Formats: sequence, C-alpha cells, structure tokens
Amino acid sequence: MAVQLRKIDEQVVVITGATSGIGLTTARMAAEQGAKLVLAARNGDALDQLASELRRKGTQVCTVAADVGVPADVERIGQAAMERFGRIDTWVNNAGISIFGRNEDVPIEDMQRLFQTNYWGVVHGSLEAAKHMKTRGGGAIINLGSELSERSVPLQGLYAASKHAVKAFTESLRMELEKEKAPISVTLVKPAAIDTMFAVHARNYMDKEPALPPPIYAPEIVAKAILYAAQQPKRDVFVGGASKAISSSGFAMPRVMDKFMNASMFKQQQSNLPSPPNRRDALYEPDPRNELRQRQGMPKHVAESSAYTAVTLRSHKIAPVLLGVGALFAAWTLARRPALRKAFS
Amino acid sequence: MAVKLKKLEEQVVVITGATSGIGLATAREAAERGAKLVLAARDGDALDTLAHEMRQRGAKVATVAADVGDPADVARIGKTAVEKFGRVDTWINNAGIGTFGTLEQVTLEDMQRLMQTNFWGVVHGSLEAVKLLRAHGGGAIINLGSEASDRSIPLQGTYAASKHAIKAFTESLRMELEKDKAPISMTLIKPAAIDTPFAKHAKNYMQNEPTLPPPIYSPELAARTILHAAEVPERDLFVGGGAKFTSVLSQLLPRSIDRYMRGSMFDKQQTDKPSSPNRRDALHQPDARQELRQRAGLTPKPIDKNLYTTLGMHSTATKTVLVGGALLAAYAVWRKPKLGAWHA
Repeated sequence: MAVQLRKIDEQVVVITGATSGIGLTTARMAAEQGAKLVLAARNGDALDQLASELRRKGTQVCTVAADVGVPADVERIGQAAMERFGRIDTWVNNAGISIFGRNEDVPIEDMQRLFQTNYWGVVHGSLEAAKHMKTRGGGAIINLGSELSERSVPLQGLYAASKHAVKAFTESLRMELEKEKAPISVTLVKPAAIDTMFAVHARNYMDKEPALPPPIYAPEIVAKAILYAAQQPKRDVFVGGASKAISSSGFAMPRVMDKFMNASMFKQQQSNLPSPPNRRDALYEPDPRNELRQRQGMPKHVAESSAYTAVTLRSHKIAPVLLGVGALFAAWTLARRPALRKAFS
Repeated sequence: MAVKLKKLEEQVVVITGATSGIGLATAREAAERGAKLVLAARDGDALDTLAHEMRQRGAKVATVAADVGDPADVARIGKTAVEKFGRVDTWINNAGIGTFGTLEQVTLEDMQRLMQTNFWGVVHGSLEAVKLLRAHGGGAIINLGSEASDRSIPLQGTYAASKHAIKAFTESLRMELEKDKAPISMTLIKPAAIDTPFAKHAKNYMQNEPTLPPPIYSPELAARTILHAAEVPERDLFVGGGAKFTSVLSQLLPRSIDRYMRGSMFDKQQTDKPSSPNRRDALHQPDARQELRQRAGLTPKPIDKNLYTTLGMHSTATKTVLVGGALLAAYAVWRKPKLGAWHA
C-alpha cells in the first residue's frame, strides 16, 4: 500500500460511537494530538458535552447526532465533515453493541438490530468515507473488528457473526480500492477484551450480569493503535496479544478451542451479580445514565500495555528480519555441533 | 462429539434451496439413498415438478414454498416436516444467492437482500432445526458456508461477509449445544467454486457475464460431502482441496493473497461475454427459466473426485494410518543407502 497519510495534527478525523469506550478514548487522544474531529453518536446531549470539554482545550470539533445503522444519518456525518473542514483524512467505524445470551434465547429482532449497527453501520461508514476520500486525495478507513472476527465464542454468537462479517467486508473493500489504485488505506483493528462500557451497554439474556474474560486491556491501547493506523498504512492490527493468540489457535486447533471455550467462556462471561429485572441497555437507544465513560472499571485486572501490539505496530519490517536472523543463528549453531557434523560428512 | 446419527435411509431430511445446484443435487442423491425429504424453495412450481420426478422413483417427499429470509416461512417448513413425517433428522441450510460487482457499485438494498437470504436464512433455519431436533431425539444441522467463509474475495464482498457470518454463528451455536450435551451435530460445509447456476442466478453489476474461477468442482461432490455429514458427525468439511489451500494460505500470507486476488479475481470472475441489459437474476425473486438445473456447464471441466475432500471424510484413525504410512515409506526410501544398490 503506497498510500501517503498525513500526520495526525494535520488531519480531520471522523469517529463513530464517540461518546463511550474506545471511541471516546480515541477522540480525546486525537484531540490531544491536534486533530480536528467530527464526532458521531446517537446521543446529541452527550456529544455536546464532549465537544464542549474538547473545545475548552482548543480542539476544533463538529458533532453529528446519528445512528450508523441508518444510511441517511451516515451521509449527514460525511456532509458535516466536508462542510465544516473541507475533507476527511481518517474515518473510524467504531460504533458497536453486543448481546449476551445463548443463540436460542435471543429474539431475532434483537439480533437484527445488533447486525444493523455493527455490520451495516460499518458498511455505510466505509462507503461514505471512500466516496469523500476519493475527491480529496485519499485517507485512512479504520474499521473496528474484534478477536471475535476470527473465532466465535458462546453467548455472543451474533456479535461474533457481525465482527466476522466486518472482517470480510473490509478485506474485500481493501482489494477493490487497491485495484483502482485509490490512495486509501483500509485497516481492520481487532481488539481483545477491553475495559469499556461494552458489558454494561450490552443487552443481556443470561441470569447473571455480563462480564468479559481475561486478559482485559485498557482502551488507551486501542486508541493508540487506531491513531497509529491513521498515520501509517496497516492491514490489520491485533490489540492485545490474547487477540492474536485466539486467532491463531482458533485456526490451528478449532476443536481444542471449542472445548476450551466451553470450559471457560460460560463462567468468564458472567459476573457473580444477578442481572436485575429492569436492566437497561443501549441496543435500541443510547443509555444516557451511562454516557461519556471510557471504562467500566472492571473488577478483573486490566493490562495497561500490550507488548505484542507495541512490537507489531512498530516493527513490520523488523519482525521478518529478526526471524531470519534467528533462523540463521540457529542453523549456524546446529551446524557447529560435532555430532551433527559427523552425521553429515 | 459423541452424537449418534441414523443411516440416511432411516432419516427425514430438510433441504432449503432444493430446486437448484447443490440443493438439487443433494435432494436427488438423498432420495436415491432412501431418505424421506422435505424440500423448500421459493418456486412452488419447480418444487412440484421435482417432487413428482422423485415420487415416480418411490421417494417420499413433502414440499414447502418458502423464503428462508422470512422466519414465519421457515417455521412452516418445520411444521410441515413434523406433520408429514413426525420428525426431522437432518436440516440442511443450503439456500443462497450472490451478487457480482464492487462494494461501491452494488446497491445497499441488494446487499441487504443477499444477507437476508444467506445469513438470516441460516439463522432462522438453524434455530428452527434446534427446536425440532431437541424435541425428537437429536440429529444433524448442516450449514453451507464457503471457502469465502475464511477469506474474502473482490466483487463478491457481501457474499463473503454473509458466509463469514454463517461460520461464526454456526461455531457459536455448536459450542452452546455441546455445553448442553444436546445430541445435535453441527457441520459447516465450505465448498470451493462449484458448477451450479450460482453465477447465472446472481445479480450482476459487472460489464461482462459472471463466472467462477478454477478449480471448479461438481455439485455431486458437494452433495456426497453433505450427506456424509448427515450420517457421521463432522465439525467442518471443505469441498475441494482448493478451498482448504486458499484458507491456509490466507491465514499465513494475507498480503500475498490480497495481491494474488487483485491480479486474478477481477478477470477470472468474468467471461468475455457482455452482460445483457435485460439480464434476469434470482436475488429478489426466483428465476423460473433457470430452475431445476444442477449444473451450469462451467469451464474448465468440473472436478468430481477430490482426494482432499475424500480424506476429510475419513476418521482420524484412518487418516493417521494413511499419513503415518506415507511418512514411514518416505523415511524408508531416504534411509536406503544408494538406490543404485538395487541394481546390483
């Protein structure tokens, strides 16, 4: 991908789902680094509050109350960005929601609603972004997948299905844009479990409150990965070594993963607290009592850094070189062992 | 999966998309082997013709005109099966459709319709099947994924997305059923390109008529693979070694596959015949002129026997013996001091 991307302080960055979790963390980090922001979410009040906070620190912000599942809303996001700032450099399709429960227990309407936000929201956003980026010399489309883009899990079947579909769509769009030689970088970010409001906002059909299985990582790590990909073309970024591990193991040993997940994922995706009867969630409407929070503050340990992500972000050229050097060194060492030399003479 | 499945001749088998391609080939093969059939598709006339053909050969067949994208229609398929035959043993979610064109070209409406059939049809069918199988002692659910379940392709982005989603949903449902120790086997079939009317039925946005890239395999190979999974619990089965090859390479070398597909998949998914302006397809409605055809007659000649697929259907014990034996033989040859010594 010989795509040239601007430094973040020269960029106009669109972020959907900007009032919570990963989206909120990324918006604040991007603002700190000097980007101009176009922030979208369903809750206009939360957006106003966030914009006010960011403007006090000197950031240029435009907000759009929008539901990414509605194509006309997403068009408004694109239009607002072009009218206010004249171009879009990076578009982050981040808005997403989940449902916890067995597939047999979740009503079809809820499944469809999840898919409308998580998959069609990404389709609408990506196509809107590509349309505008082609007129202004290019940019970066960054889609939030998940470790569940590569391997499914019990009790979040539709969430995993939507993230698998996002992966496929992103992969296809990338090839089509590259065929046209469009100067657009397309990135799929695949986070492991992240401490956000994800479990609080999710709809729940289990007896107990939802929880995420460890290891859990900080949303700042995802935000850093997103902003890195906004400036350096990357195909995929796993955030959290666990994400890469699940993906590789899922591919290499699917039956082992089936059994491992059955042994652990039912317990680890439920907390000890019962799910209250009048529990609110953000599947159909935003939950105003739970806005503008980056983290839930999960009771389990949250990793504040990921060595795996840090190394892979910086070393896309170094890794194969290191592997090659390592392999040569191993071969040289083995060749020097007397027993082996005798065997080969 | 310690699930026991009946022999096909004792089974009641539901097949969606039964009037064309893989579904049709599977229905005919199953009928030949004595299964009782519940066949679903949108085109009631085609179903009647097919049922008539099969009954003349002694098969017991019930038909249901249904759109798998509609949960009420899918509930009717289940109801009909129980009314006619008292139970379901195997439910094959096969109905599917394609679109050819870039993601920027294809309308959102057409993308949504594709997803409604391909993904939601499988969700509706699987959940209906689980209900019925739980009530009647278990059985098999067989979902048609694709090699595009593991790796996307240009010009068929939404199709690939739907097949990826099917894979994830099937995987999740499988784990939940196993946790419950339900006597239900869940199989994901991942065919490579198959010679069916898939390209003819697909909605086309390209300048030229769509086709599929080689290697192309026969729908009968797919049918045999599916019916194997109806009798023997299997997790995943590729149809065509090419599908497995693509899947593995895509995991190991995604950028290389991106480049390869960019270089070849735009050309190889089109013929050199222009697409006619009044071209019909089966995305929103069935195409009555293209019903009841297993094959489209694609070139190059479709492969009917595939060693990889056949091996995939053997037990782990058999595979260990075969592979182990081959390795042993290779070792023996390597250790022979000089091949020339045999001439002495």
